[in-house]
Amino acid sequence: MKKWAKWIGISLLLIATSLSVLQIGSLIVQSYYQAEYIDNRLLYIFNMIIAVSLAISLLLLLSFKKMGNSILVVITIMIISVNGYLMYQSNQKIENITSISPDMKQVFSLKKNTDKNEAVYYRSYYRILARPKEALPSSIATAGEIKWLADDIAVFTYEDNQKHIQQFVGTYGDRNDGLSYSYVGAQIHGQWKGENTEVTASSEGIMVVHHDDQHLFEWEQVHQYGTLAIVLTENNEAVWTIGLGDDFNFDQNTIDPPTGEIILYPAKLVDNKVIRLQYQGEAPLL
Amino acid sequence: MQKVLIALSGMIVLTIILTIFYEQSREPVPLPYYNVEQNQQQEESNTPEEKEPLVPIKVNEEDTIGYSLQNDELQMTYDDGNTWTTVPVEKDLLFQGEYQGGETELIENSFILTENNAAFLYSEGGIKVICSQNQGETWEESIVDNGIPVIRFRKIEFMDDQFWYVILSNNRTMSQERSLIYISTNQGESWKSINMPNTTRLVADGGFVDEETGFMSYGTINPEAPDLFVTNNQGETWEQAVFNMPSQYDRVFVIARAPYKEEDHLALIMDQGPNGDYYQDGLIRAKFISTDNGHTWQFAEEVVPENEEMG
Repeated sequence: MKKWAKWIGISLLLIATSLSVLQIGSLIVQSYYQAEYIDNRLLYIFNMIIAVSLAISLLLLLSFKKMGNSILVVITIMIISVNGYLMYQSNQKIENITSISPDMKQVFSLKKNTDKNEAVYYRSYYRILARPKEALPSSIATAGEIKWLADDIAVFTYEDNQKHIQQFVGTYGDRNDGLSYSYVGAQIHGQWKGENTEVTASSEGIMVVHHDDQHLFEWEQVHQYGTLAIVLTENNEAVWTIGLGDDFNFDQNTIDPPTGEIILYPAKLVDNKVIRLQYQGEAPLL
Repeated sequence: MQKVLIALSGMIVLTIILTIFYEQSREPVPLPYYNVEQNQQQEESNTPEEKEPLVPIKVNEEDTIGYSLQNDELQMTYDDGNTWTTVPVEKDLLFQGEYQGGETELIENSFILTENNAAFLYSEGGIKVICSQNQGETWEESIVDNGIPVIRFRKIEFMDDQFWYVILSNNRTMSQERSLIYISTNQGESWKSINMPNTTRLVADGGFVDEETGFMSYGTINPEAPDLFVTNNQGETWEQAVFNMPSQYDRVFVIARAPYKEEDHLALIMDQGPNGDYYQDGLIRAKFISTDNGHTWQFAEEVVPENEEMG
């Protein structure tokens, strides 16, 4: 036997074994801590990886006769197809909407019950496990895309049953000490400017000027998610999301103006581009 | 080496199969409790189908008969709450008139709920009775009086199939009101009101012991002595009953309840009234008996209330 074949065989065998242990371990953890895989398909994907690695390693390490090889291949194909089919079927019942953050540290996860169109937002643990956090306020008729405004802000845009565009924001961090709740609206008080766009946050509400379109959102129309993002709504429909950029900083205890940028993100199902805004100064008195 | 590898492979394949079975049989993890609650509330407002289980309010402790006012409707059960029949009357109508309470229980004496009879007194324009003699399979509505608006005291009683009566009071101003008795001898088909005693004091209780002999007891606000009227001819003439009150009970026992038949005589229980403080916090009652069909009453004994804590 060639040396490289042996090493590959052994490492694949190790991969298969450790993945199996991981799989069993995570199932125990899941039933014990009321958790699930962050994406229901992960279980089947792991199974398929295990099957393939195991088959290749056996082929490399053991010298079966021709018959033995064929049986091994057939069994492997069977395992893969069963898992593949079940994975497809499970995603028909519970559709997974998952996205990994740009820095690979967070996972935004929604599981949508396709019968009821209801979706549940999951909070991730150890990257691969998750627990249900809350149900989305409205059902998902058409899912749009998930956009990470920062490494810890994921915005999911979708259309609900009433054909209204909605935005749901998952946040995974903060811009302060993380000890206290803070209001995004208060932190971005002032005037912000970006490409063809101006945002003014004042006591009246949040004024968004985009190209020639000018609109004031009163504070009742502003819904905050975590301490990082707000969604501006109009008639039960999301219009904009404003998130605090990765470098945003504002200290409530000083009179220093905020630094860094805020990110304006329109509520549209397609062709959705973020607009970055920089601080210009205090809000003019209206 | 080969055997170890094959055994290991077998175990791994087994793991794969096990995980598939686990995943297929697994229920999705439920939402955290407070979220579930919120969602349920939302669902309830959308679909009023999911309701709390009904808890019967027993008419009689040992009985299996009871009713419920949950979910804003009157329902009754004859088997301890396993099956329920809805009484076709709006819940609010059962509490029309002078009534102070949470509408969690029916007004005392305003209904009959027995093996053979179910009857509920309610106001809808006038005073009506809805009754069923087959445990709620069919209901009959009967109009007691069309012209009585706001009632205070109400009592319905079926003596037998041939003698039903309803006692009402209305038109109260301060401590004066009108009292009324209606009698039906044809199972609610028609009701006739009968002549009443000549008094406008507030009704405390009333009732019949047989078709001819009836009583009305008056005085609920600061009474000083019992005020009981008796008729032996279905109301044609009324006479004030006389109580031989032992002197130590004078001004103590002041409100007579409706008399009842006992052995060969009549008996009644007398309360101390709202300000009663004769020992045991006014809970002690007196029993009187009458051997002349309710005209004169002799003190019999003090009655210690059942099921109530001693002071």
